[in-house]
Amino acid sequence: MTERWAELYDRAFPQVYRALVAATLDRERALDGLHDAFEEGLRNPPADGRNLEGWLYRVALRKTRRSLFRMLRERPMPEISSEDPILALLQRLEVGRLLVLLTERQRSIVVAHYYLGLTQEEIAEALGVRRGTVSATVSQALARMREGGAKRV
Amino acid sequence: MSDRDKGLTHLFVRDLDDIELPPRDRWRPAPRKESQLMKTSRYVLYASAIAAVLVIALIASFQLRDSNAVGASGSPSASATTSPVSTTATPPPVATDQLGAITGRFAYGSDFIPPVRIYAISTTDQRVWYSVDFPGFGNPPRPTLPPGVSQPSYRITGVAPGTYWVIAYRTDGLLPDPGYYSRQAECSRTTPRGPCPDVALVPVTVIAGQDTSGIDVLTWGPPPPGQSSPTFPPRPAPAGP
Repeated sequence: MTERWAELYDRAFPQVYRALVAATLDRERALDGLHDAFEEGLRNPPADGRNLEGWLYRVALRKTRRSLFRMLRERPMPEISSEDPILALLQRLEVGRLLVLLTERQRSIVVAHYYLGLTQEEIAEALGVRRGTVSATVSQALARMREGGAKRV
Repeated sequence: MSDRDKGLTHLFVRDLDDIELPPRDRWRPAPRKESQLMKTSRYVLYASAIAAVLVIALIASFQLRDSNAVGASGSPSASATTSPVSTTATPPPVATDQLGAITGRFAYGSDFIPPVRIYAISTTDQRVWYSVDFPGFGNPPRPTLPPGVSQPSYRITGVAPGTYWVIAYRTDGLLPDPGYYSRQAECSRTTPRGPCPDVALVPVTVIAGQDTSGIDVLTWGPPPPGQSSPTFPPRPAPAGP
């Protein structure tokens, strides 16, 4: 069982990791979240293998929020400087530049939809929100990205 | 999926796939290191468990010792010459041939002797005691002496070597109480006509394999005026089931 889970995890890791980095703008939080999700999967594996990426993303995202709170308790939130490697990377990417304009919640949903390919229903279920909320958030995020893109142009 | 969505998906996949992955050995979590607090807690837990085991063992050993002491307290073969009353007991932790006995007579100053339980209580450890029941003698309804016995007496057998106080506590709840082996009894043996005014308690020494006789119980209750009352060891509690 453990081996099977580890195999599934390894297969899903690249995509979910990148989605988490894009959503959180933080490699370490993304990695921490995935590690926690891995251990969660060892203890309580997902009910079925379908949409494993969605499960991992949801659990890891929840864990990254916890790790953010933990980090905030331990030390003040560091300012993200323009020299931050992940920000620098995203700035080089067209999508990355636009993602930075969004809130973390908006990024989480947009990335889940456009990168992980989850439907709005799946996102709503995974993140524990209503489908309407997902739809509205996606619309707001796109509007903001459009606005940001226009300004850049 | 609309064309716009397809375009965005393509853009997301193209760009985000450029995000570099961490080295493969970091994909899975490393075995978590135990924090100092957790380590300390673990040690405290271990120490508590060991301490608990030691305390339980200590308590058990005390209980075992106490039960041995109480077990030794009943005389396995104690008997009163008038009417032997058996007492249940565990043999004391001394070889049988090393055990001694205490014998003596009663005198009460009346035409009867009240029912008593005679104890030999160790002078060094009051938890060690031996006893025998004497059912009383004299006026009916008290028992009469067996044929050929002129004087009521008692005998406590199976007594481990040592020194003891010999005290007879009444079992009818009346006074005077208790009767005991005193300097007066010692004196009466050598000086039958007296005077023997000293009523202090006298220890009795039991020697291995021997009878210690002449331990007569003839002093009862409070001393005469002018003498301080001896301090009696407390009446032993009956042995548990």
